[in-house]
Amino acid sequence: MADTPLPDAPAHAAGEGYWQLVWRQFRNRRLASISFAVIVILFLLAAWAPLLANGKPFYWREIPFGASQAVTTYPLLQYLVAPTQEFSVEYLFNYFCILTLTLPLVCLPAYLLSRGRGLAPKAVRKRSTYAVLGAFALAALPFLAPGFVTRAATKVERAADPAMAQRLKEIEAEYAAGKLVGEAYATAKREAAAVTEFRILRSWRLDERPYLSDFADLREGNAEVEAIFPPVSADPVVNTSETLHPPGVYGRLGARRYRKIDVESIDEPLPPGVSRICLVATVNEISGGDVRILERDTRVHIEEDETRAQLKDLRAGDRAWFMGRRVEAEGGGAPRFVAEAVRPESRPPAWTRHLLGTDRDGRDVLARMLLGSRISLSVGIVSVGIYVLLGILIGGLAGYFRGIVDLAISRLIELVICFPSFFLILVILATIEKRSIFLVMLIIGLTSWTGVARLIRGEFLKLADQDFVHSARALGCGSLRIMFRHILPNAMGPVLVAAAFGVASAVLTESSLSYLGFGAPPPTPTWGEMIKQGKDNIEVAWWLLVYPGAMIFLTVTAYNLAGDGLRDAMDPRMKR
Amino acid sequence: MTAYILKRLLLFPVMMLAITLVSFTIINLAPGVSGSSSATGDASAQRMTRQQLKTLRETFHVGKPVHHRYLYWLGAMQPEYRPETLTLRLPFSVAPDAVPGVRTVRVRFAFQGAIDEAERMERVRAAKKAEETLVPAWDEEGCYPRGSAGGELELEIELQKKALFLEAPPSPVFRNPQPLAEGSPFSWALAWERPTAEQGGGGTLLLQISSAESHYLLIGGEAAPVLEVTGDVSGMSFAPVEVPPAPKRGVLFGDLGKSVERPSVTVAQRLWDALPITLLLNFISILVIYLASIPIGIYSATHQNTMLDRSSTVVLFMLYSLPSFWVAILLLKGMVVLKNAGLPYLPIQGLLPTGADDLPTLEYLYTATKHLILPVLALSYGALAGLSRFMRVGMIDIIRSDYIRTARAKGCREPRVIFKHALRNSLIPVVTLVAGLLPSMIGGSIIIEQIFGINGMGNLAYTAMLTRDYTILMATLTFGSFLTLAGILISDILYVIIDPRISFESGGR
Repeated sequence: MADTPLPDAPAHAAGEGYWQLVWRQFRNRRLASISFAVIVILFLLAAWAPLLANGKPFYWREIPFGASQAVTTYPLLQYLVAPTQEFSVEYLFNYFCILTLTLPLVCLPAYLLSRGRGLAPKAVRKRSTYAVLGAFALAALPFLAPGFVTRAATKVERAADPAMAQRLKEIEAEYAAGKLVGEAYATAKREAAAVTEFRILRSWRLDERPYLSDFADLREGNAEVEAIFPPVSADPVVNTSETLHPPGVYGRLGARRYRKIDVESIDEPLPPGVSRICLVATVNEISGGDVRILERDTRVHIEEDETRAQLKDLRAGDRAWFMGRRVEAEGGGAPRFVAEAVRPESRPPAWTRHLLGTDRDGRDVLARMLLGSRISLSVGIVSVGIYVLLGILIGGLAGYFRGIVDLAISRLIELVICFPSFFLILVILATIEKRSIFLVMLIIGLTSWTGVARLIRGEFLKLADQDFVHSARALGCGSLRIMFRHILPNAMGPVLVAAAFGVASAVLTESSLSYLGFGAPPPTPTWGEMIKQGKDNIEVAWWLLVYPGAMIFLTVTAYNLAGDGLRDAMDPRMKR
Repeated sequence: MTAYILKRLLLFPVMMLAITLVSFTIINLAPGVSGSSSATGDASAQRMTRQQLKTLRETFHVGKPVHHRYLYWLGAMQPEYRPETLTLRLPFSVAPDAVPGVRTVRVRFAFQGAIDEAERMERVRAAKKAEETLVPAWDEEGCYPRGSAGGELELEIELQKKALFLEAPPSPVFRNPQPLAEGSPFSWALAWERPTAEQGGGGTLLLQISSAESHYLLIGGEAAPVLEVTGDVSGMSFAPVEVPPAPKRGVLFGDLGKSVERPSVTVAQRLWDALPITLLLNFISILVIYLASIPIGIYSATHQNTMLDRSSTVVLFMLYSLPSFWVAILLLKGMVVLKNAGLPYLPIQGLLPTGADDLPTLEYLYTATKHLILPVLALSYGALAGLSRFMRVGMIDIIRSDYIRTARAKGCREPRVIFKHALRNSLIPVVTLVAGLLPSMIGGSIIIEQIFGINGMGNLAYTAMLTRDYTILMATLTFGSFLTLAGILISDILYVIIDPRISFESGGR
C-alpha cells in the first residue's frame, strides 16, 4: 500500500509543520478518519452519559410525610458537580460534560465579536486561546463550590399556593381519620400537589418524565410518577427515595393491611440473583421488633436502631408481619414503613423501553454501557499516559547516557518482559485489598512501559549522534534540555503510534480484568463486568453478552485503526 | 555466535534469580505475608484461619527480617528445622544366640543441651526487639524443648527367630504417649518396628515426639536428642540414634510450601498437576497459530490487492481487536444454542469427560480433540491474526527484493520462487516471534481456562487469586515467568542460529 502514490498526497505545503503534514495524511485515510470520529463520539457519549442515561431525575419534588410543603431538588445537577463516589473518573467526565456546554457558550460569542474586524492572525490566535482557556475555567467553577450549587438547587416551597396547602391539609385530616386509605390517599395527594410549576417543562411534557432519557431509564414501570411524589404513607408499600439509589428494579410487595404484608408479586421460583427482600423503615418511626413470615415460622429481628430487616427467603404467598414497638411519627398519622423486594429481572431488548434490555438486577444495559464507557475510555488514556511517560523517561535515560545506564536499564526491561503482563497485573491486584479503578490504571501503567522504553531507547540511540544534537551540545545546552527539547520531539512519532495501539490493548486488559472481577468495585458499571453477568446467564440473556462485547470491540478496533492510520501517515515513504 | 549464546545461557540463571526476587517483592504486598500485618491487626489477615496464617508463615517465613525471608524462601538459607512430629529411629540387631521371647526395655530420653525457659524468653525478646512491631509468630506458636525435657518409658519387644520375618512388617503402633515434661505441650511415645528380612532378628525402636497443639520442635544445633536404653537388653546391640534429616526447604529444592486453602496438598504437587495441561494447550495453540498464519500470510502476499487478500486483511484486523474472553463466551453461547436446537455441538467444559481414562486409545484421542477445539480456537485466533499480518508484510518485503527478481529472471517457476526462495527468509522473523507470543498466551490462558473450566495453571492461579492463596499465586507467577524467560532464550538463540545475517558480536562478520 505504501508505494501506491495517493493522488492527494502532495509535498510539504509552504509553512506546513511536520505534525500538520501528518494530520493531513491521517485525514486522507478514510478508515482512520472514521475511527478517529468514532473515538471522539465515544468520548462525547461518555461525557454526556449522565444526561443520556442517568439514574438521577432531572428534578425531584417531594412532599415529606405530614407536611404541606413541597421540596424540589435537582439531583442530576448535584450529581454533575459532586459525584457520589468520592474520587473517581466521574469527575473527569462530568467536567468534560460541562465543558461541552461552556465551550460553545464562551467561544461562539467570542467568535462573533471578533468576526469581520480584520484582526491580525496573531491577535486572533491570542483571543481564541483566551476564549478556550476561559471556557475551561468556567467549566471548572461549579466543581470548586459544589456546596453552593447544591444549596442553590434545592427549593422549598412554603405553601406557595394557599389553595394547595389547604387541600393538602384536608387530605391529611381525612387520612388521619381513616377515610382515605391506600392508593387513594397517595393519588389524592399527588393530584392536589400537581401545581402548575415548571411551565416550560410542562409544555415539553417533561414534568411527567423528569428523566431526560426515557429510553435508557434505569428503572421500570411508573416509577417516574413516584419519583416526583413518592407516596408519603404506609399502606401502599412502594419505593421511597432512599431505595432509588443504587439504581435497580424494585418489585412490589402488595401490602393489604396495616402492619401485614402479603407477598404476592414475587415470581416462583425466585430468579437467580435475588438478594434482598427488605422491610424498610426510618428510625424515628419504628424502633426494634420482629418481622415474621407466618407460613414458615421465620422471624427476623430488627435491632433497636436498625432500619431494615432483610428477609432473604420470602416467597409468593408468604404473609410477613411486622411486630414491634411503634413510635408515632411527628405530626401524627401512621408511621411509614416500606417493603422493598429486590426482584431483579433480566429483560430482553424492546423498542418501547430498555432498548438493549436489562441486566439481572434489572438495570438498563444501554445506560450501563454508556456509563461503563467512562471507565474503559479513561483507563485506556490514563494508563497509557502513565506508561508512555515512564517509558520516555527510562528509555530516554538508557538511550542518551548509554554505557552502564543503558546496560542496567536493558537488563531491567528484559526482566520485566519475562513476567506475563496480564498475569502480573492480576497478581498485583490480588495482593492488594483495596479495589479501585485508579489502581487498575496505575498497575497497567507500571507494568507495560517496556515497549515504549525500548522504542524510545532505540530512537535516542539513533538520534543522539545526529548533527543537530551535536550542535545543540556545542551551544552549551544541558543534557536534560537536549534530551527533552531536541531529541524527544523527533522521537515522538513511533511513540504516538505505540500509544494508540497501547490504548486499545489497555481497554482490552481492563475489560478482561473486570470480567474476572478484578476491575472497578462492583456497583461501577464496566463492560467486562456486564459480560460476566452475560456469561452467568448464558442460557437466556444474550443481550448482556453481545452489546457490551460489541462496545469493547468497537472501541478497540477504532483505536487500532487510528493507530494504523497514524503509522501510515507518519511513514516517511509517504512524504514525497 | 557461540559467545553470544554462551552469554545468554550464563545470564539465564541470573535472570531467574531476579525473577524470584521480583515475585517475592510483589507477594510481600499481600496482607498476612508482609511481616507487619500480624501486629497491626490487618483486616484480611484476621479473616484467615489460624491454619492458613500458619501455612503462610511457614512458606514465607513471616517474622524474620525481609532479606532472610527471601533467602529462606529461595532455599539459599535453610531455616531451623521445626517439625510438629519427630520420629527418632534406633535400629538394633539381635545376636544369633539371644533368647527369643518378650523383653521389656526401658528407654531414657533427653534433649541434650536444650535451652531452658529463661533462655527461650530471652530469645523471644531478642526477636521482638529485632522486629519491633512484630510478635514473632514462630516463638508464639512454636516451642523449644525445655531443658528438663525427657524421661523414661517402657516397651515390650518380642524377639523371634530370624526365619519368621519374611513377610512385610506391620506398621508400628505408638501407644501410651507421655508428656515430655511437666506442662509441656509435647508428648512422646515408643513403638518398635518388626525387622525386615534383611535385618535378621533385629528391628528398630521408634521414638515419636509429637505436639498436641501444633507446636513446633526445634531440632538440631543445641537440642540434640540423647537416648539410653536399659532393661532386658542382653543379646541386643543398638546402633546410634538416627535423627531424620531436615527436609530441604526453599524453591531451589522444589519446595514451594503448602496451599493456603488446602494445606494437605503441596503447591509443587498442584503446580505439577496443572502445568502439563497448560503447556499442552499452549503448545497446540502455537502450532495452530503457525500452521494457519503462514499459509494465510503467503497467500495474501502473493495475491496482493485481490478481493480475497483485502477481505482477509479486514477480517484478520477485526479478529485482532476482538476480546478473547468475549469470543470464548460467544463460542460457549453458540454451543448452548446448538445443543438446545438438537444439533451436534462441541463440549464446553474441561479437557476430558469423567471416565475418559477407560476409553480405548482412538476414542480417547477423539474425545480429547473435541474438548480441545474451542479452547484452542479462543486462545489462538488473536495471535493468529497478528502473525498473519506480520507474515504478509514480511513476505511482501522479500518478494520485492532483488534476489527474488533474479530468481524469476533466471526462469524459476513461481511456486519454486515462493516456496524455495522467498519462504525461508520470510519465516525467520515469524519464527522468532514465538517468544513474544508466550507471555500473552500464558496471560490469556487464565481467562480461557477459567471460561472452559480447564484445570491448568491459569485456572489454578485464578482460583488462588479469588481465595487469596498466596503460596500458589507466588508459585504460578514465578513459574509463568520462568516459562516466558525460557521461551525468550530459545527464540533468541534460534534467531542467531537460523539467520546468518544477524551477529551480536562486536565487529560483525
